[in-house]
Amino acid sequence: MRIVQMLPTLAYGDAIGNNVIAINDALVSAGYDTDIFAEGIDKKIPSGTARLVSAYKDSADTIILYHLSTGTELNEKIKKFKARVFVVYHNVTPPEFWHGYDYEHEKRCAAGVESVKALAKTPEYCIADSAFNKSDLISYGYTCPVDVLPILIRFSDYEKKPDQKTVDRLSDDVTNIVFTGRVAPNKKQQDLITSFYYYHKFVNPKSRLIIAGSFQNSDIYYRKLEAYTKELGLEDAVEFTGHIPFDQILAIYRTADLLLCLSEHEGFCVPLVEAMYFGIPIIAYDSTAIAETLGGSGILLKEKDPKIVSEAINLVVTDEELRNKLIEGEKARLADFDNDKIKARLIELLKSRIGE
Amino acid sequence: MAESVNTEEIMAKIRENIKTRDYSDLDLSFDDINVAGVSRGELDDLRFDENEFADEIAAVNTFYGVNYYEPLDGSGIKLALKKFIRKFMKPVAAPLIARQNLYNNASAKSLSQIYAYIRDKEAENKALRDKVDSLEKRMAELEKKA
Repeated sequence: MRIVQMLPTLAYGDAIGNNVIAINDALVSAGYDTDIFAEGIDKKIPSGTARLVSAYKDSADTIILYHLSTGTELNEKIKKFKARVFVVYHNVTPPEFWHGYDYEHEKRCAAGVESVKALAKTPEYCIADSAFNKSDLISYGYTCPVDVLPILIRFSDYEKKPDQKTVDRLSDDVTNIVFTGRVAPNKKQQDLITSFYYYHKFVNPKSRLIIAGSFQNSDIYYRKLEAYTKELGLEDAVEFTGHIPFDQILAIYRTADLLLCLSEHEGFCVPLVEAMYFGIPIIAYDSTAIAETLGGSGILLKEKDPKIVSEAINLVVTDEELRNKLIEGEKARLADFDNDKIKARLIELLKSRIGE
Repeated sequence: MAESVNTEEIMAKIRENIKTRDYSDLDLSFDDINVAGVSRGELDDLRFDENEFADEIAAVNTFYGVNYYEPLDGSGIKLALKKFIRKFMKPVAAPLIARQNLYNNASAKSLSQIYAYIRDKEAENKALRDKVDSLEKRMAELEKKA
């Protein structure tokens, strides 16, 4: 049985790209004939990992695991293949988050949502990263069976050596508050900055906020964040790392005192699981799939009042008993994302669909 | 499921701490931030920066489009009235916005072409300057020998 994966772009280092590669490993280990096909392959992806969609030879005996996360012409092409299509749904950011920041991106997200809806009758089966994502599919008219399976994460990558220079720089006596994730309006980095303003100014001036995520200098949203940071007098305390090498991300995690997430749209939120892995206490705002991924661990805030966030940060940083309890709870939750567990469940689900 | 901390207890502690902390409200909001252009005074001191030019061209290209339907705030009768006025104005306003977008799109493309022209000319000029430098050097050497 040939089971291949297909997606519009195989990007280096993003959650979907890492998930695809981890699934590939799982399929190979389970003895399946498999491949990864993408319309665009990041140059940093090792040669031979994936091939272009144009190299795919269609057959009714093949199963395509199609990773759906955006609007693209591939969403139309996939309807015409003879292969059996199983969709792996990662969610499309609602266009309204991009309104006023990026007209083209807003149009792409709107088209993305429409093309997800238009694909509703194509797959015979879907896997969703979260119950939140599953409910999206159902609301879009998907009537095929949908199972929930968390993103497969290659935890072994996190054992690599962190960048020592960054570790040394961040290992001063300054409290490191971290958020990892692309600089994007749905992730509400402005709310991180506002909350941090209150914490830094009124509670603990020896603190820094590290926003570790990629952006373009021309992005209106990033330019506003940068200007906002300057207006608040926080240029020396807030770091926008941009796209950085993996060993620097590891260093940031290894020296973080807290992960703060105030995002308003996440289909799963891999950084939460990463924080669990590195033993970093989490404070997060209850939206979309956040509560589900946390599974009762961390501190889940029902409101985003920046003073509440500021005091929550202070409690976690100063109350050792609370901090340890949070880390323990997160460790227990992490077990639910165990690589072998998720791999086994993935293969079990696929076999039940294939009839093996 | 992991054992969760007592969130209610934590929230109660947080609210107590807020009462005793001497917070003063921020009078600036993120929505107030405008990413502004260059003033007339700044123009005199402005120097060409190709990277900045490229960034601004990219910003023009991402932000050229104007929507007719902007989100309306308010609720109840006020919101309904705003929606009615917007619908009432649509036959007049929407075609104007569509024409504006055509102009914006053409401007964005023209500016992109200007950027590409400058970039290519800069590369040509550099090649010519390098050639002139090497010819001047050669001339100096020949004059020395003569």
